[in-house]
Amino acid sequence: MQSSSGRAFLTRMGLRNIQTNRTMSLASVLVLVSCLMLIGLVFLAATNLNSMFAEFSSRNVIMVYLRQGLEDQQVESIENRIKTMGNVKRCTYITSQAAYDRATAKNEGDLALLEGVDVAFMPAGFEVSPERLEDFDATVEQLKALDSGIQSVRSFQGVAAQLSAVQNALTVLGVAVITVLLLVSVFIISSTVQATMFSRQQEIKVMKSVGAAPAFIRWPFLVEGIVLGVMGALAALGVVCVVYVGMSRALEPFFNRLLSGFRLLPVVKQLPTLLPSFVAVGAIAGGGGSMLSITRYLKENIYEEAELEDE
Amino acid sequence: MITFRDVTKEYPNGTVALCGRAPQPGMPQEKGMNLHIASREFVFVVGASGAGKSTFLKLLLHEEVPTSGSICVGQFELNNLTRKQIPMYRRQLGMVFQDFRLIANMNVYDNIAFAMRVVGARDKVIRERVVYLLQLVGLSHKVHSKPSELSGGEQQRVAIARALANNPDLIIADEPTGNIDPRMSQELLDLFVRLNEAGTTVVMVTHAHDLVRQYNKRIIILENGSVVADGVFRRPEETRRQYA
Repeated sequence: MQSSSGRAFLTRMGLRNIQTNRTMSLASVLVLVSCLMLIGLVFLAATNLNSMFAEFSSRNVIMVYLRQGLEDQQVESIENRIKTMGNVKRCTYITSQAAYDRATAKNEGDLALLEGVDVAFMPAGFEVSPERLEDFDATVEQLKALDSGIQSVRSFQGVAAQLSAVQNALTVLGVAVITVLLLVSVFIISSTVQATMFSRQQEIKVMKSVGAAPAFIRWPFLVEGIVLGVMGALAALGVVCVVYVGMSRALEPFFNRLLSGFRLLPVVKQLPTLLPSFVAVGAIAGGGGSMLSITRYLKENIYEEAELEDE
Repeated sequence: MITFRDVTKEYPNGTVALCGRAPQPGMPQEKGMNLHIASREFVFVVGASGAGKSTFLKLLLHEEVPTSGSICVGQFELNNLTRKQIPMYRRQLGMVFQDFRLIANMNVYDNIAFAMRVVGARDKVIRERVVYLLQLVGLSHKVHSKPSELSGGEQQRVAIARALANNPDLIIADEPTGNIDPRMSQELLDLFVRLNEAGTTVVMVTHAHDLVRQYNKRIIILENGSVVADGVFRRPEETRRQYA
């Protein structure tokens, strides 16, 4: 029966090994950081893409903008004609004031964008929700030809469909990249631990010869791998946060212009997912890598082959 | 304690490392190596390079399994050992190697304690046992020394203390005097004899024919993988006394 004091000793031994093999440990952590950093950025890109998709899915409405200076009767007539069209679930009139208020609320953080824009500048219109998405394009075409009072019709269907295709492709790519990087991480940790293990063959052989159970022999190496993995994960998370915040700031104007006010998700909101995921991935990569190496060494004999060849 | 029954060992490359004795007039043909070492016995196993000593040790440590025949050590039938039983079996053995195999960055105390810690012994038990073992091998004053600060003989005594750490029934020593000067070799052999007198079975594989002849102990001579001689060697003066 193995005692807890034995386990504690082996845990200390694993931690001491990290310190003893500082250079290799540092190298291993650094390479792991680069792998996990890429994993993190791929993950964040996928998360943002999902959020973008959700945003556009919620925008499956058709905006019908009216020309300035239409009479109330004309507006009412257009509304009635829209409501009697097939495939229209809801039709809501948005006044110029309501449109302006929406724009103000959306750009609350950067009101400079609305400088020089007043209520009169915002066109009134209808927000039309289609009944069936498959007839979306036909409905848009119908609306465009409905009345000369309609200035323009705007919809996000095309963007949403393209985004969906891009999202699917990127999800597959993301999973593939993460899998490859994870395997690379396991391999790196395995190589590093193997390099340090070479210098500790003596310890392993002594442990085997005095009858230490394989699980006990593996323990310090498992501790070492997990600790290196978690250290790498935390460092990578720090780098990912810094890079992401920097990228968010740099790309914000671009997203504002291109995607109508869409913003990258704040990294703080992602931390509850990222932190445990990184720690878990680091621990699995580290622990798994160590186990791969030690298993090979456990198969080696207490006697070197050279001694056998002597015979 | 140790029984080899018709044991042969052939490696995948075709090398026959252990086999039965070559046919001799008036002797039955052996299927493989046969020998029995009783509990509390002290046995030297000698032989030139290639005689099968390392294979003999590998089989005893259960690092190799015989091609045919069976080996029994204590209550363990080595042919039928499961993976889980191997560590339990090895705890009954104390191994002493020619190259000492001390861990360079650990001091004397920790080298001995290490053998107990990795099998889960409690700290209090470890402290008491290590102090006792250091007294036994005469190295109490070197408790904090690193292996590099010790002579070859001292390092081997630490290795012996480590082999004894888990109170084994059997000590297997592989060329323990191979890296030690003759005077120190004598002292080490005396230490093994004392351990044997205290009740531990000792199997010592060695090249040092001259040294083993100084002790009235059983000697098994291996040649080309088989036992060619097995008996107690008596010093000439003792033989003379016996027949005087």
